[in-house]
Amino acid sequence: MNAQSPQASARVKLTVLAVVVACLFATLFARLWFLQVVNAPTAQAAVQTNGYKTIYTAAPRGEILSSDGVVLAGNRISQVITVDRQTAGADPAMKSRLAALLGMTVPQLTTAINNLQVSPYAPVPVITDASAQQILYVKEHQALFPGVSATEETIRDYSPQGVAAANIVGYTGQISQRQYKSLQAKGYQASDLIGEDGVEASFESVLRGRPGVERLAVDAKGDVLGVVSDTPPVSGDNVVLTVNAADQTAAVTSLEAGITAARRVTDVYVSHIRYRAPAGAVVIQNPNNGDLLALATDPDYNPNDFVGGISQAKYAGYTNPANYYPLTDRAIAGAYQPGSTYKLITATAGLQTGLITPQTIFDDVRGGLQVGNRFFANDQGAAYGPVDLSRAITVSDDAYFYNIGAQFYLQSKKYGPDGLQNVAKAYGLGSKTGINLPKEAAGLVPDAQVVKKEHQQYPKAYPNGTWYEGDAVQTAIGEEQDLVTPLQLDSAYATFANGGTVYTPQIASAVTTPAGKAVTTFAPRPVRQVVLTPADHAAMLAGFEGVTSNPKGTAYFDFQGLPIPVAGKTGTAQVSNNSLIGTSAYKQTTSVFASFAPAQAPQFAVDCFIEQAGYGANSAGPVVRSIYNQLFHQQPGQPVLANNGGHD
Amino acid sequence: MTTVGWSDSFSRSRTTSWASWRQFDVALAAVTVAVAVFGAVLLYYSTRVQLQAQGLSPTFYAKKQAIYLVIGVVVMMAVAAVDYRRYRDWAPVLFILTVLSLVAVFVLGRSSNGAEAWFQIGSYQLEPSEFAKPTLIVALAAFVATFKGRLPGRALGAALVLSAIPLALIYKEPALGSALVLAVVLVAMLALGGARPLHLGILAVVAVIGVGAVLNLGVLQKFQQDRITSFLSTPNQPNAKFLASKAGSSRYNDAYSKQAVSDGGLRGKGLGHGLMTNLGEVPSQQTDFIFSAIAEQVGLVGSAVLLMLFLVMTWRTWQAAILSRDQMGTLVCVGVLALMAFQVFENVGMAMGIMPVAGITLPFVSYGGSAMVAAFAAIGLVLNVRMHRFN
Repeated sequence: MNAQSPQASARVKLTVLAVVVACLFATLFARLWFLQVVNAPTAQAAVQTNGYKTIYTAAPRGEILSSDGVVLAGNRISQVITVDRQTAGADPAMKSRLAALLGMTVPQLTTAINNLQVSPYAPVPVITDASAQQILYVKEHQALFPGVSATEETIRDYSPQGVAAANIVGYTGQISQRQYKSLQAKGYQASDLIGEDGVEASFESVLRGRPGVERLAVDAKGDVLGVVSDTPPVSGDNVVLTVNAADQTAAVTSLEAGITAARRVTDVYVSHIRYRAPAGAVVIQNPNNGDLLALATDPDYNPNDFVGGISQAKYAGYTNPANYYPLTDRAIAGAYQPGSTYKLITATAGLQTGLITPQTIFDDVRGGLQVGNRFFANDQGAAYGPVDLSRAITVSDDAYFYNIGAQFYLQSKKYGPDGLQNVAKAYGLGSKTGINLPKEAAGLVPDAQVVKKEHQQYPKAYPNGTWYEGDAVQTAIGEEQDLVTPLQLDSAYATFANGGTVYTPQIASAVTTPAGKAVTTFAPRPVRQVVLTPADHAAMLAGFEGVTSNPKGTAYFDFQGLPIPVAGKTGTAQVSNNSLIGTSAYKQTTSVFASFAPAQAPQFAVDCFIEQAGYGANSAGPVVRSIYNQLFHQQPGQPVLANNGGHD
Repeated sequence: MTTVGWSDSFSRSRTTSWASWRQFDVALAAVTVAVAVFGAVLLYYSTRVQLQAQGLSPTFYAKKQAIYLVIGVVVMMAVAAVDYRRYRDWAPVLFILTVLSLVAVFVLGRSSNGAEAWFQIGSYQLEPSEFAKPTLIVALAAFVATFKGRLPGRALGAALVLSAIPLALIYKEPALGSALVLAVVLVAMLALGGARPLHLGILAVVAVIGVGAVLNLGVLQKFQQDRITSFLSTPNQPNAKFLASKAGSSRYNDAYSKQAVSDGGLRGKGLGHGLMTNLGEVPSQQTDFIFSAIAEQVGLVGSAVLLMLFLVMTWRTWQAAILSRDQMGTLVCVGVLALMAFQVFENVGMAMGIMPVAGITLPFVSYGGSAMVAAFAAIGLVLNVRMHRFN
């Protein structure tokens, strides 16, 4: 045993104690340094968001107005019953009373109260459009319903004219997880509504306004200590469309009537059954500035179904293929073969390159054109004899235009490999027009490169990677892989109508404050010129006028009796191979009509596509006629008369 | 090497002589008062906004704390003035009074909120477990010193049994933190008092088994157990997910505390500033978690100054232990040193997330009259020992 004196041993122990204490303090200093130097930047950033809770109040959404002042999308007041979560949590008896009053089960009410998309510091709406009795009962028996309030909330409301323009106006919906992630930085909340389609989507930033922001200081327990700042919401601005509610209604009703009429007509030439006519589209624009006056699509949907959340059953109906996709706006997103309406492009290309002149005569003796070992026939094998350009347009002589397509192919050294395609693109085909609406389709202008690429990508679907003369001939009359949207085709005819200016189609003319003061106005946006000499233009125009005014014109019967001269062109696009005739897979021809009027001083460019509805003059022509009746205030009440005669 | 044994004889003068006052450790007294003043000022800035938000006077805590400070200084001087060897004679009486006061809390203190730790005197609360700290130090020092540096097993056992009574009472209040502090003080004093290494070793083993048993046998209430075991896994940045979790609901205090300390950064947010402090994110920020509020306001610079002041206080106490003329004086100083050092380490460590949350206040700084006065009394004991090192 160590004989150290107690005092000496105590000194050693005191030294040990000093060392231990020094170590403890050293630990504290080290930890202090870690927290306040190393960890400080991240912690400081986190603290800034920690002590505040922010409550957002959505701003009243801006209205969407038609050019003639009709509110298409507005807001209405809804009576809402809200529950304060903290109070409700402590009062199960109140919950069962409230559930009984609202006709809900207690679990349903609990689910509504626990809606995570509402801030924990804001009252939760448990029922919208509450009845007057429910509101009154809650207000008169406040003691029975602690934390329950009746308030008013503005919700979206689409007028009948807005419903008729559903494809343009669009709809709003609850922001999706993905949208929320990308828009969080812009101040969106998980409970926000956002424009999902149409103008509601493309003008979201204008319509939304600025949400009210109330910043509350809260402590760790979540108790509110006070209001730090309170910025009231700022209403969204209104969007004034170029769309005219009356014109839109005319387009929609005419299209619907035309489709209904087409379904009663039997295809006497090919399938020998009634036209299916499942869907169609109409575009009306002002050819002088590109303002869209109407965009109709059928089938369509009711945007009011989306207000407050669409029901599963309704959404399933809207997305069921058997219902032909009512949510798709065929006017801008439908890609169709244009058929003979494409002859506008072929004629322009021939004239511009000097391949033809207005006086060039093609002697259509055989009713078609022999290309190698294949004969490309006119419709119904009709032979028109010697025809010039105007007549070729009026009677829609395919052989005349087959020949132009063939010459572009054969003389590609002289005219370049894409002599025809360049003109199609100049008219705006093959690329999006740039209209300020979502989901626009680009269409397709096929050429050697496209065919090659398709073959490389999908060798099974496109076994042929070479561009043959036959392809050039077919595309010259808008068949095969030519694809246009109704909007593109309408813009192409509008361009010809105004003398050659391609405009970016406009859907909105102005953004205004809720008080009606203009914030932004949208001027016409000319893009480029498609130049034709006056003589060339006159010859083509004469051909288009002949379509409706010459007894040999393909749409002569459709436009009889209309005192306004209409320039137009029928199109009948073959969708299915003739080998499918008689099977359910066979699709009847697309009925197309593109036009402008009055022919010499155009105010409107109108086109119409109806799927599986025969010749252009059978179904689309009568729809366009009906629209002109209304645009020019002629023959009110005249029904749309589909027919099964004629040719194309 | 010849060493002088601790003198056992001293003049039993009724009053401390003027010569003794010349040995008064001004530095220790000054540092102690400085810490207390620093604490009171920071207490004001830490609680002002919260108090105003509750519609109370912003000086509600600070004013009372200033009064406690003055009382504390008076008590410190009074404790220093009476020769500590006189306390040796009173040791049994002090011990019995302490135990009685702790028992009395259970009888008279029933009305206080849940834990029976206080006497209510007017609007003031008296906390006997705080006053038990200096009195038990004196009593234990007196007892151990009678064995003159070699503590036989029987004496050690007696010391443990006697200490166990107040410890158990304090633990039952429940004031787990105070009981823990006293246990540490006890071990330090026994080790310095001459307990044999073998006995200390056995004690250590028993302690480890005891802690293990306490944690696993459900002796502790669930919240106490959670607080002790959970601090290691608390994230430095409490995110919403953590706070919503089961663990987060019991641990947001140390999570937020760490965040508040970090928020201070190098220079701090300034007196009266700091979001965590002003929004009262950290609970008990005027008492147990006062350090997080201080650290947020004065940053690394100010926090280090505070810790340095505590270090100086500890160092002067350690010197007094060395300089003491007798073993009782050394043991009193060691007891106070262990008391202060452990409380500072545990409290500040807890605020910085390296020690479990155990309800231990920061001496001289946390709001509370009993703790303040008792801590001043403890420093008074140290001043006393040093003053009387020659006579």
